[in-house]
Amino acid sequence: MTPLIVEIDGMRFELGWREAAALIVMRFVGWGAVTLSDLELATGNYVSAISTVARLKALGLVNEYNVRGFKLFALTELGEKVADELRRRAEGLGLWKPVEEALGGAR
Amino acid sequence: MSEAFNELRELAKAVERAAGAIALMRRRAARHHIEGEVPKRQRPLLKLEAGGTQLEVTDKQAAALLVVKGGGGVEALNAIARATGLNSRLALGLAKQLEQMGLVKLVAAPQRKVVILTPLGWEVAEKVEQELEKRSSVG
Repeated sequence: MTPLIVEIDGMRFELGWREAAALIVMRFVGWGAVTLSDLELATGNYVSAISTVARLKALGLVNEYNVRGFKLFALTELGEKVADELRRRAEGLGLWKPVEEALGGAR
Repeated sequence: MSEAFNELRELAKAVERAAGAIALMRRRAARHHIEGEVPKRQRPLLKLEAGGTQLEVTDKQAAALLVVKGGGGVEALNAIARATGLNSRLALGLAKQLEQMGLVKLVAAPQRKVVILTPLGWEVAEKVEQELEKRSSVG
């Protein structure tokens, strides 16, 4: 499988589609943080969500907030930049329409 | 198959899955959506200096800061609601007010909201705690 390669601020990130999907969701859904069950929707299942978020955290793209048994995940500034680059690239290739439709024309 | 084509396929799949998730999340969010409203009945509790500026802290703001400090700097919004006796709408308004003052960061998903003390918020919470201890020992 060929990863998506994104270079931001002199750093190179190799992302699979699950990681890219999670970043896009977190950046463009319209609020600041998501739950693990939200990430399950993007990545396919619980196990994928766990491994995806672990990798994104290790790359410095996502912060985890753990409070009394529940977890919230939010993009770091770097994560936002990577998500923006994914959008820019998808728009350039004419792939972004499904996200625009999901947002109901809000963006 | 070329590498560029494979990369395009990965991106297309990512966008498609993200779009599906976003659509579903936004439908679900409508059930949880609340607008924050700043509590009207707040009494000024103390004035203090933090981060080089003078701040006036109300009773509810002080309570919220102490709750978050008690949680180690991170606490659920509903813990603030319980401690202050506010409903979730007013607690959200209070958290947004504290965020505008630069004392907390609000990390919010529709169904879950977390309040995090900023360094300035931590300093203010410590000063509030010291002041209240001083007052109770005098009283």
